Amino acid sequence: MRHYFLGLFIALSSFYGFGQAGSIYLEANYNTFSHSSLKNFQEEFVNDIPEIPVQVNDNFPGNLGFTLGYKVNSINGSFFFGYTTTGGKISYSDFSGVVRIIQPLKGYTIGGDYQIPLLKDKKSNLNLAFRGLITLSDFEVKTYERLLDNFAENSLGFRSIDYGVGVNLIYEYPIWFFSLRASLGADMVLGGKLIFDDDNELYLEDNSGDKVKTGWTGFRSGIGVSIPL
Amino acid sequence: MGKTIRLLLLGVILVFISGCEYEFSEDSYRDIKQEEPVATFFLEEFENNITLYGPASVNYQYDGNNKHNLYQVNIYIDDVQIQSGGGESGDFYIESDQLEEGEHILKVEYVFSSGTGSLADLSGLEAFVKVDQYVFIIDKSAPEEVVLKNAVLKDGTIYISWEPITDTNFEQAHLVIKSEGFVIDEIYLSEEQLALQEYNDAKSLKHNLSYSIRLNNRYNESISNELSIDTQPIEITQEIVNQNQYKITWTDHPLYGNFDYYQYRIPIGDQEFQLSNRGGELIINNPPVFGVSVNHYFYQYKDGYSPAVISKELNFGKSFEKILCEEYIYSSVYDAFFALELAGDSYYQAPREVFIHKLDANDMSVINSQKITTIYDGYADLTIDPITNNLIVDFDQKSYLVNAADFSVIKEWDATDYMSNLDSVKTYYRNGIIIIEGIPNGSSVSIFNSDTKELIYSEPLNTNFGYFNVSDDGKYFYNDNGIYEINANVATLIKSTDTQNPVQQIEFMLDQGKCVYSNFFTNPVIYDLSSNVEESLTNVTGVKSLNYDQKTKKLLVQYDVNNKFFAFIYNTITQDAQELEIYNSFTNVFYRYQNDKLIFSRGEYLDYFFN
Repeated sequence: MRHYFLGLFIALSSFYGFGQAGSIYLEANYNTFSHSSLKNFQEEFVNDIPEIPVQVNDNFPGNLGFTLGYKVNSINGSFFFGYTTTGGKISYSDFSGVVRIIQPLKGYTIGGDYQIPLLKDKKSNLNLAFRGLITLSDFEVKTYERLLDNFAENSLGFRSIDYGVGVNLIYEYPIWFFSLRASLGADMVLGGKLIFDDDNELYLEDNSGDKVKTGWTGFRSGIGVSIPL
Repeated sequence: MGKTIRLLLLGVILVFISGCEYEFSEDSYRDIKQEEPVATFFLEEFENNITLYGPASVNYQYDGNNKHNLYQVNIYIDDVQIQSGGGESGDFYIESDQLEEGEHILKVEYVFSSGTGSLADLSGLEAFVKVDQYVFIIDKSAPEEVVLKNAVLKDGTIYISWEPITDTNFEQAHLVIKSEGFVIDEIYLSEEQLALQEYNDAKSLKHNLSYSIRLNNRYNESISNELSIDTQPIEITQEIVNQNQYKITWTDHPLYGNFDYYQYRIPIGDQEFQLSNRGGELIINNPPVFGVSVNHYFYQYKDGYSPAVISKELNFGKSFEKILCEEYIYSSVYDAFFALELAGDSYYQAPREVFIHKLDANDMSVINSQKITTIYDGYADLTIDPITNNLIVDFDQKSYLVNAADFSVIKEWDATDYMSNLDSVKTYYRNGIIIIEGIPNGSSVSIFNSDTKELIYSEPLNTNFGYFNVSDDGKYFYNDNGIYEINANVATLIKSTDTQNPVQQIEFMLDQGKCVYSNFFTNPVIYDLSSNVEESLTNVTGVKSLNYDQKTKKLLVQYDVNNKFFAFIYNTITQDAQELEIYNSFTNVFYRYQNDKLIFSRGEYLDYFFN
């Protein structure tokens, strides 16, 4: 995953070197997701071990993330990199042992948008952005069991490439040398099949044979800063 | 430069926060409370302090109450494991044979899942161990003894009764029947029979029965008191009826109720009779043989088969003790028998002790005995001296005159005083004469005056048969076909006998002045020594021996025809005769007729029939 990030960083810095006028922005996001397929997949774990009363502790809730982007003034668009994470967990424990399955999910997004100014005056501006994005999802299924003095751990990793589009409203208010930025919108992301890390031929399926997919679709919100360069 | 720094800083922040993961919530935890287990273990027909009288198989049943799964059951007796298993039901065995009497501890240890539902429980790693403990007692004691009340003989069968039996600690009961102290039967008594408290022994046929009841359990037994019924065997006797018939008599059987009758087959022949078990008599048409015992078999029959037989071996005569003596003579003077016995081995020159016995005139039991000397050959003979009524005992080279009252030796004569070259001789003293028979080499006889030693007679014995005999008073003798009389030291021939059939036996009947002589092929002749009158006993031949009973004047003629032997008793006064078959197979047994008894030297005498 780091490779992608590095590549992105190089790309951004090359833009900077390009010397185009623009601004770099960083947002802290709060996003919600559907992830219905993953929720269902987690539920199946619960049903697969009826003798142990495992419970769902985390069910891929909405979470924080961040977005880093570079707005190019001349084209009214920006390129961005985003990162968000969530996860699912089911577990059961008593005095004699623990059973838990943790499914951390990370999404690394790169995308671009085109902005239409809605409101513009000296100070602030409000843009409507239409964007397209590719998210690289990194999904793990980690199991941990401990019974008395013995324990066992296991971890499976999956990846998928998800395509999405979104629309959001961006409001910027300049302060000092930077601008405060707020965004609100929604993305619709189509999840791809989750391919097994150790064997690219295999992908994750649920008990009914349907492919398990991420569901990043949801609301997006963000607060950040924008620094013109 | 500033921009570069900002970019680098940006990069660091990006690296840092890209590694952030979602923060997961705490594990769900279920607090499980330890509860008392509800599993139970049940033993069938077994409770604390149970008493066992034998091995026991105990069924068990585990109940987990739908909460606990059974893992293992271990059974211990006195802390020694006897069984282990995993089934929820089963059985185990208490081997009482290997346990001592008294208390023992049974422990049932069962291991089952905790039922808490914890992960460990679900994985089968969490269990309770519960131990149920019981005390049991092994009892190997003997059952209480039965008390017999009564044993009665009634209507020829026996009833035994006993007190009620209250102890149940027994498996088998037997009525033990003994006869004369030895067990003859053991009757198994069922519960129903025991409850009746009386038993009819309709089976036993033996005598002096005694009864007891034995109770057995696996380890021990007890025996009741013993009650007895004294009964005696029946008496069976046999008696000569006549020369061709005899009679058997038997008495009432005390246990006549226990069988129906006797089946009897006559000893010789095939005829069978059904005889009453209450006693009776039966005439058997077989000739009685004196000296031969007869075996009688009374087969006792009940319901058509014979479970027992009474057998009796009977003689026609009565027994007496002093058997196989050399001679038996009756003395009217002493009213007793005298018998001469040689006691010792019979090999060449073995020592033999010479005994004289005085026997009762009626039953021939011993009144007195005395050893008078020891000899080293086998010849001895006994005579009663009619002059002094003392006993004369002849040996090979000696002759003794013995006091008949106290058996002291009055006088001895030694043949060597009269002759030399004595060689297998017999020496006789008879009223003043000494006879030495059989010299030289058994071929002559010499007669001397015992005092003067004057030779009265000396002649060879008959070359054919060599028989010699002398009268008890020394007055007459027979030698070589001639009967001689001795008078004043002179021997005179008074009668010549048949040379074709030389005399083989001669008896002198001194009280009648007669003698009788015989040969196997001719009739015996009674010869009057003074009148010369002869009388033939024409209905007798095959004579083997003669014996005269001075008391009754009866003459025993023992003869043999067709390999059967007979005793012919001839009354010399009335001329009546009777005869009876007798046993005679060995040469060292003989018959005598003395004091009106037919005497068989093998220890039997007949005092009726000829009388």
